[in-house]
Amino acid sequence: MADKPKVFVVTSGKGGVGKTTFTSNLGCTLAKMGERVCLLDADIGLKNLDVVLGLENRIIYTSFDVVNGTVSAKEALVKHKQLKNLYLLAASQVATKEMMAPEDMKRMVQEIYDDFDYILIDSPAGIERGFRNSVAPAEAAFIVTTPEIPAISDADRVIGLLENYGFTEDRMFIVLNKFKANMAKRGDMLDKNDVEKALAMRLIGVIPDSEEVIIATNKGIPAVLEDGVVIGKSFENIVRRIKGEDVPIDDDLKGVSKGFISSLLSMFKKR
Amino acid sequence: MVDFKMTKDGLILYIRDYTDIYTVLQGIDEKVKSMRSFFAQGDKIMLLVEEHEKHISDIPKIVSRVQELGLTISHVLMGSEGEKDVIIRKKVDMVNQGDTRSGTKIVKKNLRSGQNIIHSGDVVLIGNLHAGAEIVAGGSVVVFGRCQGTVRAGVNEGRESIIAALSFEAPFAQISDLKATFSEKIAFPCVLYVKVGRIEIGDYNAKIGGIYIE
Repeated sequence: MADKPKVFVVTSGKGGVGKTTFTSNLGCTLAKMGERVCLLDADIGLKNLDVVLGLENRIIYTSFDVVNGTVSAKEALVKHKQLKNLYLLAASQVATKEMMAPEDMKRMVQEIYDDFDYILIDSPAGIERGFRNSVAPAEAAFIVTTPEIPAISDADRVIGLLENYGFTEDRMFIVLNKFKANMAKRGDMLDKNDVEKALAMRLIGVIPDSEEVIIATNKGIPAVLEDGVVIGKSFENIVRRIKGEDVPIDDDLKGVSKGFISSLLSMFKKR
Repeated sequence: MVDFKMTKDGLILYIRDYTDIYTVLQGIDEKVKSMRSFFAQGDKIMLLVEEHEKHISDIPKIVSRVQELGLTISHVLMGSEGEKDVIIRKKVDMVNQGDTRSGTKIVKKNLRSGQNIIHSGDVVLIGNLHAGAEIVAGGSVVVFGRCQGTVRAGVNEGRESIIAALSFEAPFAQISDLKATFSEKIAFPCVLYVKVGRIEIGDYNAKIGGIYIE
């Protein structure tokens, strides 16, 4: 294992917290910064990552073909339309999670390990086979959670499981997604301090809830590739923190207070 | 003599060394009947007979008896089963062992949902006990952190055991055979102890002198 982790699994336990959106946006942010990035969809049978990236029409081979030995891992990679150093290794929609073993995933990641600076694995919801498959090759983990009790409780369980797999706390990064600063200020939503206290771990980043994400997802373009999005700042900060920079967590939400004005501005720009 | 063991590969019907085959068959009858609701028709289990060389001629009898009871033997295992794979009966065994004080176990970590500590002596947890985590202790339990998970203390040592925590937010606790539910969160260091047959909760500073330094 390298000093700096290179293979990350994005997981959460609970579904619908934004694992796939996080994976695609983080991948794009890293790629924009010039890193060679590979996104690996481990949600076999319920793949979404290709759709979010707008690459669903370009997939010829999937990770299932790689495991079966039909093609090599490099041949199965799909290049992103805009970002030339972002690649996707898609999951099969017809296979099931049981058709793959953790060893297959390890072997596949090993094959492409030297060609990339970062490999992000998008894990399925749950803690069953699909989770074990996606965790097996990872050197570090992002745990995505939302400021809701069920999501936090599942995140706690996942952290415990990852500990059992040998992950130490400095290789587990908690991401607080879909955070509504206004609601937290009113006391209607858990604040980031509450989440840190409940999980007894530091957050690596806070991503504000944003309509831009929904719009972008439906267009098949990760939100961070559009200009002036609020969440862009959060992702840049997360990348800087992974690389060892000390960026205060409050910096993530600075874009939100300007959100109203910048959204007005962007309305004018469009016309 | 006849027992079921849960392993990661499935359920094992474990038969210890015996002298009389008929008591074994009777034992199987009783064991399966007592766990009737646990099984479905045709469930597959494995069979392990200790000293199987000695009893090799009895194995077909055991297999056919199990099949009469509606279960299927998928494998016949050799050798004796190591204790390390046994999960399901661990807690119960500890209770049955009685006074096996094996000292104090000190754990320095946050115990998270789904994790547990099972120990026949006292347990000291330096860290939080999160909701969904569990401590089962033969003696007393001390949590240097927030206690939100389940604590079962005094499994061996009985009602003399106590539970102490820096803050107690769990909905439930058990000392020996007594159980109690709590609706309030206690944000200060506190002690749970048994007083005339029920679990009381008290301020640590007020209670420490009176309760267990005697």
